[in-house]
Amino acid sequence: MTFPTIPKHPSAAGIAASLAFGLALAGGAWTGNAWVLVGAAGIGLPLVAWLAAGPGRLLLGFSIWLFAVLGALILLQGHLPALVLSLLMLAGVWLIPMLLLPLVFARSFDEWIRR
Amino acid sequence: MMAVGIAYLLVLLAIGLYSLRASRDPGGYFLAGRSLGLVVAVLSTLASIMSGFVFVGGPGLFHRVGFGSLWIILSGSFTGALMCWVLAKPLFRISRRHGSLTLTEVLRNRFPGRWTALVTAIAIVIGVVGYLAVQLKALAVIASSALPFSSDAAVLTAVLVLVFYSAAGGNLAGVMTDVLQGVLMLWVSSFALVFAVQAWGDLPPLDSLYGSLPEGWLGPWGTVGPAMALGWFLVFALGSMAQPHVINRFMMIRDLSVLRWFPLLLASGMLVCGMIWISAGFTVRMLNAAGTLAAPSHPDEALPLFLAAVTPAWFWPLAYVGVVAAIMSTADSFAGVGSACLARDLPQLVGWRLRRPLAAGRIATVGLFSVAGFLAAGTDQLTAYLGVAAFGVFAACLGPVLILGLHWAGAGSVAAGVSVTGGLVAGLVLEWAVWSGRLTLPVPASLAALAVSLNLLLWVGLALKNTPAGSSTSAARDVVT
Repeated sequence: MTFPTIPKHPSAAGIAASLAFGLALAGGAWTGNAWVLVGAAGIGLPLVAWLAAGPGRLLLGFSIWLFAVLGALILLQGHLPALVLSLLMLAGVWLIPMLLLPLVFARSFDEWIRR
Repeated sequence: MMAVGIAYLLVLLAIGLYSLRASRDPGGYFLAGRSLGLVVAVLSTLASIMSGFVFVGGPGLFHRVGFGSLWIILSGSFTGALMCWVLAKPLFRISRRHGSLTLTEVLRNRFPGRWTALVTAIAIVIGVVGYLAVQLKALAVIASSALPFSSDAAVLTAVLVLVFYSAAGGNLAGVMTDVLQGVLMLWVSSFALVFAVQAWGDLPPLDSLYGSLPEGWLGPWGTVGPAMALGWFLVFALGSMAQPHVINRFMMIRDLSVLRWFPLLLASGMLVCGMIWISAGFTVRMLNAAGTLAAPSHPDEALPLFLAAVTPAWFWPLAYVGVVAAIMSTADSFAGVGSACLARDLPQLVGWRLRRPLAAGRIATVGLFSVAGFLAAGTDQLTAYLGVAAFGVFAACLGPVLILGLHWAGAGSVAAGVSVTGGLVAGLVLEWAVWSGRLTLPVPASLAALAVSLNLLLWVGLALKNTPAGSSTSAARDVVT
């Protein structure tokens, strides 16, 4: 598991990601565009943990996962029964992240606490 | 039935009396002696998070808007891990090394000067009053419910016990009672799910009920649509890291090593407690659709209706105590945070020296409950909407300075002050404009306010080009080195 360093002077990528998140949040709030909000969630939630030195590869995976699940819920609306989509939401946003992130936190705990 | 409630309140009174004797210094009163181990930390955090908002407001919101309401609690699956990654270490280290007892003091150590700390303290007091109002409103719903032992007298007794142990023992009493209350909440939520599943077995086929449900209610976005649902998701995912009554647990733990399994246990507990949201809200709406249960006169009555219609009579007193426990556990946590602001932070920031800080804290606790009582009595909003607004005040004001500001050395005092102030002003103005009907937003007002405060921190921080050497205190260096 790789860890980015805590940004004493934020890297260009860190600043760019932070600004993208801030603008996506503002754009989503102003327009109510669901895709912009999906983008904000996909960027923002992993970003905040990455800034605090969470495990990088996992958070990239989590970012892709959030994009995929939230995007699928929007795209599949009207194509699948509503209750099936709701169950997909529960599995994809609640149950799987509930197991994944805390377990990775526990596994990488020794390295996290040493830093 | 009364025996269960009386026994519960007697235990709380005993804890209050014990804490009154045990918490003889500000560290004991405001931070429970910095002694929390894993189990106590998890249960007290769980009990603080899961409140009347979840147990009363949640089923009501689910009944009204459907599955879309769940976006408020879905992020609970991973916010425990995010909180640990982002906040545990800086909060623990700054509070230990600099003797900070409150979140405001941590921020004052991180961002030199009074501006950020003063606005933070004001924002916390405003948010605490709002959240206490949510809890009192939820208690009022329980008092007026159809359950045979519900009454104004019973609720008034519960409130008096709550105010007594909160004022007497501060966060020490809050944490001790939270453990008992957390166990009760897990127990009640688990049984409620079992009874709900039994009731679902008696429903007619779902296809025959679709026509009786509002459009979109069964879908993942509910009747509110994707923008509002995703807005809730973002506000609660990020805002969870800005709730002072929750994150101050990281200042109370014995040491950082207790946190290894904290996220998994917290997420599991939140899943179990969150089930009450689905159990009651879904079941009551489906029974309404099937024509076997009259619709509640107000959505907040979904939970009492569920208990009365679906669960057996032997379960009622325990459920009642469990729901009251959820309400009381959050209220005592907020009372602790709010009284610390009023009795410690604000006097220090304006240069007052209180000779009896613990007595001031107790008086502040009573005052906070009194103001919150007036607010709760004066609004007809859904409990859940009131909760979203109070949650949003914290998210907008404190989210950016805690999430980014504790880690990004470029966030200087001016940027932090502008961000916190902008978040508070934007949050209050937008909430007022939306509630009064002067403005319609496609997302929660608190998300728009969060966007304002986040962008202010980023752009002002970049514009002023703060450097660690030029802008930070020793507390900032604790974080970035």
